[in-house]
Parts: sequence; structure tokens; C-alpha cells
Amino acid sequence: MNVKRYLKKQARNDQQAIIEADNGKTLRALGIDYPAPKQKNRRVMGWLLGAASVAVSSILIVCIVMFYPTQEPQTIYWDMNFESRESTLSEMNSELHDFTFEIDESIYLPQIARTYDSVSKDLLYYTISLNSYDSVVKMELVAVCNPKFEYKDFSFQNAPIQKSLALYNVLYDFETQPKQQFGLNILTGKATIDGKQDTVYVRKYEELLVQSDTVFFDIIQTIVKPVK
Amino acid sequence: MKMLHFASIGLSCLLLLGTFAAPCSIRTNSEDEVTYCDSAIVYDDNEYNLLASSMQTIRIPYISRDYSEYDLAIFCPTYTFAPTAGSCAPIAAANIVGFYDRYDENLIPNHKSGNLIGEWYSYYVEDSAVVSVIRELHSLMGTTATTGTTENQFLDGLESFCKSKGKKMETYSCMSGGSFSFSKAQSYIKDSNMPIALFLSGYNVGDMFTEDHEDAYSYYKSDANHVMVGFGYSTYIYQTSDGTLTKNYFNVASGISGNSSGIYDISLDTKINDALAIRIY
Repeated sequence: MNVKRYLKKQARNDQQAIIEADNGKTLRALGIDYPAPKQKNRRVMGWLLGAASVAVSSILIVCIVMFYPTQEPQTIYWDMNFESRESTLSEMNSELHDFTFEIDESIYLPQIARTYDSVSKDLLYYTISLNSYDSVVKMELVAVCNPKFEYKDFSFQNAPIQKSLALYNVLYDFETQPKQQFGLNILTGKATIDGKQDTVYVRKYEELLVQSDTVFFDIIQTIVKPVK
Repeated sequence: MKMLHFASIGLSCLLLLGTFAAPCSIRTNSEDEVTYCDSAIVYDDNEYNLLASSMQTIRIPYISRDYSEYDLAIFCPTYTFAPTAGSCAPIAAANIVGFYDRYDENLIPNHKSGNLIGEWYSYYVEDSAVVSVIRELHSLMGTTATTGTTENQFLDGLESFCKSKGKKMETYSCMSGGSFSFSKAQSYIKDSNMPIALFLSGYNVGDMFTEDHEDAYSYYKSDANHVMVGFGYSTYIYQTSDGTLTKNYFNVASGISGNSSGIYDISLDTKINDALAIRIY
């Protein structure tokens, strides 16, 4: 009797195991009557999926609200996209905000180039090469007129000196180099002039020191003038 | 019959080898011929040089220092007008022509080459007459924005230009046993009054700033193949805590707008493929 009971119990356990394994598919294939499983599990799964979706959506919405940029994004300009073309004094002056250049072409021969980002087409800066016809002064200037652009090809070798001129303040770092071969001195150096939106970099200034003192501060004020 | 069989196999092998060898030999030839195609600012079109360039500084602390230099003029020609991208070769050639324009003003018509300051000469700047010469050299050299100029094109173009002006051109190599000889170049500059055309793979051009027991070389560096002109030289011999350090520089007209003149460290991330002293007479 006990053996019969044990065998029946064992048979029920086996049947349950088969049912749990494939929802009665095997039993139905063998011709044993077994009803198809109810959709309860699917419904539960649906609820779970729905809840998970709501949770993820909530997190996304919170993130978007918290981190959505409220300011205009800072533009990144890549050197490889920079393009330059010849420009004119009038074009440059029309695009500068704080300064205007006045170049006496009977004294200086200017070359002006406009550099822009070829992807965004944003103007970046102007390069101005100035040479005096008497060969006494040579200078290369860069006028950066895009506040979103950081000009990196400039640094002072030593701590610059600030000098207040009549028109603006200038930071400069000059050095006198004796040219023994020629028996004269050449003044070389760099300078910057800051405006509200524009910055003028004197990348390279060279002057044959005919007098004992430099004429740079007079020259720069005749060429670079603040916009009235 | 057996011999014929082996012969046919041998012939097949040779043909097969030839099929692979032909492109190899062509590639080797083209590798030998360096094209010089650098330029920073282009004035006639919107082509742009994509090769990497950057500003850097090297500091050399020293205990004591000896220094010597020689220049062919106070200010030498430093032309930079680029008709297209890759115009460094015609610009360099124009700088050489500009140098010799002092001795024959017909080389660059309607252009005053410079003036004497004391007993030394100082060259005037690039003007529209110089721009015309650069365009002419650009055309004679067959320079293009994509392919630049080879050394042979440079020499042929410059020689054609000289002939058209009724002049002759001679070149003198500053190489010795396949390597660059700085002493040869120094001699050609100082003793023979000749500028040096430098054919480079990678170059630098900058300025030396002196501080108390420290020199700082601040320079523009590029990986491009470039031609520029040495119009002088400088040698610094440092006594440092590690011993003696000798640095040799050319005083150059780089042809690069914004860095048109300066010194060039011949041992800093650069290869001198060839260097020619050039005389136009």
C-alpha cells in the first residue's frame, strides 16, 4: 500500500515537473489532456515591463530637466578646419568691434589675411603684416574678433610689462639684441592690446634702433585706434 | 621535352615576379622624389594646408655661452605671397631672386630691392612686383596645390626664370657624403655671399629670447615638406651642468606668413633632404 502511494506521489511530482518545464506541451503531444496555460504570467510580465519603462522614462526626464544646456554651447574650432584668404583694410575694420586700423600706405606696406573656420564659416581672426618702406620697422599682428575663439599661438617669454598709453593699455615684452656684425641694435618683442570683444596681438615686432628709445608706442597708436 | 617543360616553368615564374616588381620600382622612384608643398596663408584660392603645426618653446639653462652669427643683410627678403596652397618652393625661389635683385634691379622689374643703412644693406618688403615674380616662378615650376613642387621642378623653374632675365644660375651642394654639412653652408654664406635653399621634411622657425643664464627658443613647428632660404647662421655653444652643448641655426626667410623670418634649429624635429647654395649672375 505504501509503495502504491509512493509511486502515485512520485508520478504526480514527475507530471508537475514536466508541466513546469514546458507548460504541458509534452503532455499534449503525448495525447494526455492538459489545458493550455492561462495568460496570467504574460500579464504579470506586461505590468513589470510597463513599470520598468515608467521608471526609466522618469529618470530620463529628470536628467534632461537637470542637465539641459540653458546657454549657447561654446564652439570648438579645430586648427585643421582653419582657412585663410587675402583681405582688405576696410573688410577687417568692418568686422572688428573695439578697434579700427589706420595704415598709412605711403609708410607701410600692409598684407592682410582673414582666417575663418571652414565648417561653421565663423570668422576667427585677421593677420596683418606691416613693413615700413625704410626697413626700420617690421611687425606681424593678429586681431582676434571672435569672442568664442581662443587664440593659442601667442605667449610672452617673460612676465609682460603694462603701460598705459593715451588710447589704451598695452602689455609688452621687449628685448634689445645687439647685432655686432652691423654695429647696431634690433629691438624685438611682443605685445597685446585688449578690448571688450577684440584682442590685438603683436606677434612679432622688430625695429632697428636708430634712436636710443623705441618708437613702438607711437607707431602702434597711429595704426590701432579704439572705436569711438 | 623535359628541358622545354622546365624552361616554360621558369619563364612563367619570371613573368609572375615581373608582375609584382613593376609597381614596386615605380613606388620607390616616387618616394625618392620629395614634393615640397607647405604654405600657411593662401591668397589666390581657398585651399588650405592640413599638416600639423604648432607653437612650442625650448629652454636651455646654461653656465656660460659663446655666440656667433652672420647675416647677408640687416633685413633679408621675407616674401610670403602664396598663389595657391603648397607654394613654399616658388616663394623660396622669389626670396633668392629678391636677394640678387640688389645686384641687378631688372630681376624684379619695378621693384626697389632695398637700401644701405650705414655700410650694410637692408631689403625692402614684398610689393606687387614681387607678387608677380612669385606667380611667374609658380607657373615655371609647375607648382600645384595638391602636388607642390619637387626639387628638380624648383631648380628648373628658377633656372628658366634666370634665363628669361638674361642671367645664369649656379648651385653648390652643402651636403657631404649624403649628410648635411653646416660648415659648408656657413662658408657659402659668409665667404661667397650666397643664400642657401633648404629642402626639408619637417621644420621649425622661431626666435631666441635670452634671460639670465637661460635661452628660450620659441618656435613654430610643422611636419610638412618645406623649402625655405637661409640668409645667415648663428651658433650657440653652451657650457651646461651636463657639459658642452652646441646648437646651430640658420637665419631664415620661412615663406610662412606670420612667421616670415626667424631662426631654424637644424637638429630639432627636421630632416635636411638637400641644401644648395645658389648664385644668380
